[in-house]
Amino acid sequence: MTANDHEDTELDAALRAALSRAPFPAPPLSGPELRALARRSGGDVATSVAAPEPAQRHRPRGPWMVAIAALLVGGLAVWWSLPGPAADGLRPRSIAPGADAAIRLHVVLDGGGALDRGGLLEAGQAVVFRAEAPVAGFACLQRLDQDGGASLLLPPPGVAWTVGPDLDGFPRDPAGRVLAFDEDIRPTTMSYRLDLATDAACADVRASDTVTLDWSGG
Amino acid sequence: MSEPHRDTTGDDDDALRRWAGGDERAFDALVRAHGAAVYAFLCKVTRDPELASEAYSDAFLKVFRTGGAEGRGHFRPWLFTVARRCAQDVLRTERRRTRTAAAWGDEPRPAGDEPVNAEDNDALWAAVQQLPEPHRSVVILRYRHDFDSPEIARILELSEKQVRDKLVYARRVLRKVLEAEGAVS
Repeated sequence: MTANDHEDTELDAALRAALSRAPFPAPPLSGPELRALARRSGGDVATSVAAPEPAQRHRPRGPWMVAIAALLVGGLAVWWSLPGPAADGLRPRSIAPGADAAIRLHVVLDGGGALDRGGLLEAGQAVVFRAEAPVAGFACLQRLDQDGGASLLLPPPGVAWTVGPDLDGFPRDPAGRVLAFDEDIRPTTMSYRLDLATDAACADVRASDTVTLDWSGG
Repeated sequence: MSEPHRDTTGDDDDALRRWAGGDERAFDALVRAHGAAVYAFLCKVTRDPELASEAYSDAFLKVFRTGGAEGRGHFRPWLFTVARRCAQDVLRTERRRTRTAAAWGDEPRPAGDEPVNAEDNDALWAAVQQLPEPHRSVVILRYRHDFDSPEIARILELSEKQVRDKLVYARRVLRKVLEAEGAVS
């Protein structure tokens, strides 16, 4: 805390007394209910945090598993050698906590062509956001509201960003790293921010870039 | 549940470790420790218990799906950050749904009431509710949930200076209310 935080102790005390007086309302779901909900909605996530079963660890591996592993390694080697989205020499980089990561959003018109940051669009025209370089991490695309708030446009699905339903079939790079609108675009000026984070909930943001687009003159 | 917040970092980290080891009851312990506070915060942010419930479920499902490991060492502010983001997402969806309903001539869903608390009858609480965002969230996180300025900055994705400035503004407004009530000199 800073000295500034303590500048009105009388008011602080009154506020703390008033605001902490009432009990918190009962939450709608308990832990077991939330876990059941996660399973019903396809969230088989506990397996990702649980220790592997001993039976699985000691399961004998046959020659066919070795063959599959060899194929996977070969496939990865071929993919890595291909000129893909990283043809500019940039390779996927992971965002370690504290890393000085930097990104830049590019705005691409639906149908081709790039757009200046702050560029003018025709009403209803769709755009695709593309990160400057593939980045191994988690991404959130947000619309910045006039009041300074931000609204998540897409859930943070991790590295493999998905294309929105309005642009289904739009070409994407081999890693699927294309972000697209999933909402109708009204004639207005809007800013969008792409956050790259170390966690899937995008709570720990390491790099951001913002673009402003203007549909109002279209 | 209304006692002043105590530092739960050690308990939270212990629960996260047990959870990572496969003990799902550790997740339940985290929900028990923070669920009510998160839901109260979401009620204030969304001003609608239905939307707050939706954001509450989304937030804890996200935590469940990520294993919560990212919150190690600072689980509580991290959880509130996730919750705030979920609330914004839910509010945005609701705004779009309302616009669509209006375009089709449907009656918009009536705004829900917050859970009735003694706090809502208080003039000071009413004044807090009248504050613009993010000032309202800053005040609630500070005085209702006992977060310090760096934590509030993290949760609301503001700079610490912005948090302090918003606190100064909010205090100025709220002091007038308290002076009118005769609660402070």
